[in-house]
Amino acid sequence: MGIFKNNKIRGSIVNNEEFYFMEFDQDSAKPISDGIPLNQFLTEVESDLIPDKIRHKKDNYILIVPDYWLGNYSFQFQTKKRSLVETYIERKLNAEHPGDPEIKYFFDYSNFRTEQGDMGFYVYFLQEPKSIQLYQQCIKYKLAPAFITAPSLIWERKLTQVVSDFAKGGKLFIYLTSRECFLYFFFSGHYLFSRNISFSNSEIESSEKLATLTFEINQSLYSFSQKTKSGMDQIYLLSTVPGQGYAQNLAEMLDRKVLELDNQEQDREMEALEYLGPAGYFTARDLAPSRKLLNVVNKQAKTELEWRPIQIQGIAIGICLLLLLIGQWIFVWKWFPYRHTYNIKSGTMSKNEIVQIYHRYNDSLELLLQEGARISPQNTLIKVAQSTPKNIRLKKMLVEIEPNPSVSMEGISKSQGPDQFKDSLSSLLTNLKSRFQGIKTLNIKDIDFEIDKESKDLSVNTYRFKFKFNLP
Amino acid sequence: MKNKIIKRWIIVGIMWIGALFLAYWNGEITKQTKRIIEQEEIYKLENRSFKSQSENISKIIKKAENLYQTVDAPNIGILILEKKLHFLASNYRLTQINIKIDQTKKSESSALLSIAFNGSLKNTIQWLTALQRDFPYIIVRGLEIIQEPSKKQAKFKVSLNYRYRIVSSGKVI
Repeated sequence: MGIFKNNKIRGSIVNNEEFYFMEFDQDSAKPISDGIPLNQFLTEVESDLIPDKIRHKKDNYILIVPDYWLGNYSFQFQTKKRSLVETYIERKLNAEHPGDPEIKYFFDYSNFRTEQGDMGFYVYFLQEPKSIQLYQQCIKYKLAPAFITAPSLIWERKLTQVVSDFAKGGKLFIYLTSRECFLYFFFSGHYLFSRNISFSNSEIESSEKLATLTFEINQSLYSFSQKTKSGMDQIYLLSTVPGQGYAQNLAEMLDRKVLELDNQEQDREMEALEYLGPAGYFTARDLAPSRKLLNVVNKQAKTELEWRPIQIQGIAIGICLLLLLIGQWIFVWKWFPYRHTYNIKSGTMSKNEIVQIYHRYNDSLELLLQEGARISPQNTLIKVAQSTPKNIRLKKMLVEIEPNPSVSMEGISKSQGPDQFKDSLSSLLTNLKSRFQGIKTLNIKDIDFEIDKESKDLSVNTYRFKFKFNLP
Repeated sequence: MKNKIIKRWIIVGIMWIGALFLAYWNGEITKQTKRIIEQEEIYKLENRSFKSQSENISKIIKKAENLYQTVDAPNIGILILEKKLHFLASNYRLTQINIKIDQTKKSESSALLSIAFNGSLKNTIQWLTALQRDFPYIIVRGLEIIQEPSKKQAKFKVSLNYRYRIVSSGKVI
């Protein structure tokens, strides 16, 4: 992930009513331009003031304002739910600063547990009216800062990393330069207030400096005790002035232990950057990742900041997905026409022709089966002829093949008496039944018969009969 | 600031809608291609099976085609048929041949006709067998036999159905 890490952070510092464009790299803070009087920056309408380096690279732009621009207070609240806490803070800021309705949008907070275990919050907000004006001016210059913070809040994070028990009790951090001294008071790891002591003459004797410092520290410690109802546990000193032994001398004068922090930036020429105030000490290492800093920028910018990585990831994944799918589409699309022209290439009979032939084949087969099932008239005649006994003569016969296959017969039988006639009929029926399947139910009772009284032959009886049966 | 968030969401939305659309589109094309491949496989099988059975299929189709006579006009077909039937009946020593066409029952593909004659049962059966063999487009619908006591020969009346297909430039067989 190292390659995605931005090694340089661009931003601005406001110090002593001057506005500086800065570039923070891994080792130092570098001013890009000379300081612009803050009032000029706030009133200027031309955007020529913005250096090209900033104009073209203004992502994650950070604005470091003086500590005194920052107000803070703490309160206890029953819930940790973000929406409720933020609504409460907004309402409170609005009530306390009715003249500046914008203030309620520029805050950040951190939570803590009281000794009783209740939930508490430290709220930091931009109390300086100029700060809102500055923010709006930045937007006008299309330089909307993603982060607004102050040295005190940056120190808070830096000390949390450096001092192991920073989150316990009261802590005083002294940042000493040749021109100024900054006192930062923390309680339970949270910034409370700060003091700025300027030395009128940088060449002032160190003993006089120490006396001034001791006096200010004692005053502030009293104020700290009143605010926190607690004593100061530890004092830390970070001096950019080399080899003066301030920590030891200060400890003697305060009659307290003063721990001198290791100045990691001692190789740098800090004196040249002292005009930037404590913010000049910071490097990109102190500011990154900026998300972890307390950020008093307005709510919308924060929302944008929160959503930005998700949106960028969404866009990046979307692009990858689109590229993959476009690739797939090209592959499939190129493949598709080949399949489509298969018939032409193969030079065989087309699918439609085969289907048509199969249809014709099926129709033909059906027709032939129907023909095969048709009753043969000559076979019917042969079967009837073979079934007829010698003493029976057919006079009329009707063979119907369509639509209802059937045979109607009319004939005469010359018999000695009814018994012989009955035998003849039985013989006829038995023969017919054996030759025509499906006429098993045909019986003598289905046959109409009568004696032919007009017959001239008196030696035998002539019987007329007729019947009909269906062909299967 | 708010616009920037909205713009980014719009870009994200367009990207993902585009991706979804493409995924759907590709899915459809893939499905279609798959279907075509399957059809091609079926077609290949059908083609192979068709090639192996084509002789049999042709025979069946030809045989079924013979069940209808192709004619330019039904009346011409009937006229020729009448002559042929008369000739066939004479060949089997059937006498007093009388052929009648039922003009009321004529349709686009069939006509009803009847043939009456005198003859023996044996000759009539032989004639019926020849009729079925040589005239597959003629169906016997029914027949009536009347045997008069004094006469040796019986009277026959056979109802026939003549099937045909009209073709614009067909040759009457």
